[in-house]
This record gives sequence, C-alpha cells and structure tokens, in this order.
Amino acid sequence: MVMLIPTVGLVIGLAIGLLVNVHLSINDASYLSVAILAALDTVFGGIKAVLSHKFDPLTFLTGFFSNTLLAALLAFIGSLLGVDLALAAVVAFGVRIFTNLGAIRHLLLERAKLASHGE
Amino acid sequence: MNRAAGYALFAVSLSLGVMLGLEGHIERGEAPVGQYASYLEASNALQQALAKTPVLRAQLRRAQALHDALLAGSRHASRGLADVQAELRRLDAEAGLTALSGPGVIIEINYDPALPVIHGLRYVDEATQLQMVVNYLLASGASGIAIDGQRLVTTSAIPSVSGLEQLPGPFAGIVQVNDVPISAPYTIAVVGDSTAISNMLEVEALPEQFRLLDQSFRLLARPGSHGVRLPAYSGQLPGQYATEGGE
Repeated sequence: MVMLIPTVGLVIGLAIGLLVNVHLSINDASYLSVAILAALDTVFGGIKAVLSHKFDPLTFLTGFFSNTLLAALLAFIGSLLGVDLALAAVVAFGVRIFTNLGAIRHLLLERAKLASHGE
Repeated sequence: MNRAAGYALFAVSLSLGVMLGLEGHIERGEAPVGQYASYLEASNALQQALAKTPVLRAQLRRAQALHDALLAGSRHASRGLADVQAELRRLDAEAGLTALSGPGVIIEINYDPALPVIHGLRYVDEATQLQMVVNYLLASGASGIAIDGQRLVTTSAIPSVSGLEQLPGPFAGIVQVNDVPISAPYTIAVVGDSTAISNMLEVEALPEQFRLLDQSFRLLARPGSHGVRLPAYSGQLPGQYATEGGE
C-alpha cells in the first residue's frame, strides 16, 4: 500500500504529462529540470523522514511544491539577470540529494542491523 | 500510514510524474543558440565566429558570382536555344522537311484515253516534261511543289528510269521522284501565288504544248489559305548516314 500510492500517482502523472498537448522550447528545459531536481530532493527528504519516523505530510507537501516552484523561479530570475542561478540550484539540490541518499542508506543499514540482531 | 500521508504521497508523485512527462515534450533537436556555460566558452565561440566571418563572406561572394554566372548563362542558353530552334524550323520549312499548306494551284497532266497508243510512234519523255513544268513553277515563285505526293526539295531529281527502246509511246515511261516511281496521270500540287503561277503557265503556253502531244494539262486554282496542302519530304537527306571522320 505504501508503494502502491506513489506508483499509481507517478504513472497517472506521467500519462498526463505525456498526453497533454504542449510544446516546450529548449529554454524551458532548464526551468523544468531544476524543478524536477528540487522535487527529487523533496522526495528523498521525505523518504529519509519516513525512515527517521519524522515524516509530516504537510511539511512534505508544502516543501515539495515550494522547493519546486522556487527552484524554477530561481532559474527564471537567473536567466533574466544573466546569471546562471539554475547551476547554483543544481549544485545545491544535488548536494542535498546525495546527503539524503547517504542518510537513507545509513538508516536502511541501521534497520537491517537491528533486524539481524533481533533474530 | 494515515490518510493525510497517503494524499501527500499521491500528490507529490503525481506532480513529479507530470513534470517528468512534460520533459518528453521539450524539443531538444537544436542546441541553444547564444547560450554558453562559461565566459571562456563564449569567448572561444566568438573568436571562432570572427575568424570564420571573412571566410564565409568570401564563400558567399564566390557563390553569388557563380549564381550570377549560371543565371546569365542559362538566360543566354535559353535565348540561344530558342533562336536556334526557330532558325531550324525556318530552314526545315524552306527545305521542304515540314508539311506546307496555302493557296496555290493543282495541275493535272494526263493523256487522252481516246487516242490509240501506237508503240514507238511518238515518244514523249515525261520526266523532261515534268522538269519543264517544275522549272516554270519555280520561276513563278512557287513556295512548294509536290508531284504525286512526293515533295520536291533541293536534292530531288526527276529522272526517267526506262530505256528509250522500251518506251512504247506517250505516258508509257516510268518516272521517279525522290526515288519513288510514279506514273501518269500526274498531279502536281503547288503552293504559291495562284495568279502568278497561272499567268506564267499561260504565257509559256504549256497547256498548248501538252495538247500538241495529245495530253491534257488542267490547271485548278486553289486560292484559299489551306487550298493546297503539301506533305513533308520523307526521303533520305544528304549526310543523313554520315559519321564523323576519325583518325
């Protein structure tokens, strides 16, 4: 059930995104890519929170949309100013993603150790 | 997992899916123009563009010159080709290689069928008669002449192909025009000024001359614009089978 909801949501979202009739130029790609990166950062942060038993749905939801929109907005403002702020966002979110991945790995290993000791 | 967490997961995954799906709509066929990752990359691109500019301009000038030359050549060629084709058509018409129609006369030469044919009694060289008539027609300004459907051209000959001893009498010979044998009665179709032709033949008293030889010489004027139609010459032409000489 825990895996079914995000899987179904992802499949439906993919279908909507692919079926919707829009044409995005290459200039829009940087905004969308940064937004996806921010979204992935939030997702990994949410997984980490679940594993740490600190998951709060409201925080997760607001964090997801705020990070995503702010990242895209940051990239857009950077293009207006002539400064590559998207690169800064990529670096920042990249570091966070790898930090979260490392934390997730540690938590999973810890759980595995606890499970093995419990046996 | 409570209901709120489920909604949040669904909303986030749905939104992420939409964004990933929208990625598929980005047209990545062309590289972004004027977007460089660094100042160094932009500077290098600028230096390359500055270096390429004179070369491209020179290529453009050469291409333009070539284009102009080809354009002028094509115009010249097309005009020249049209002139040559017009000249060819004119020469073909003059040489009798095309059909010709216009006002003119029809001459019918026959012998009197009521007269008895006496072998050897009176020999008339029909080829000579026809040559004489043709000469008068040409002198009267005929544009084209055909004898029994054989168009006369500059290389046409009207020979008699029978020996004198074998000729039994009037209209017993065999005449060739354009190497095609013809025999009486002869029909000579002429395109030209029918009045001038008629006058010339009358002045030269050709009907009288033929009548003296017991032959009929009938002249029919066809003054209409398509009164007389002459076929095109279809025989061999000088040099038709010639080939280029080689070492």
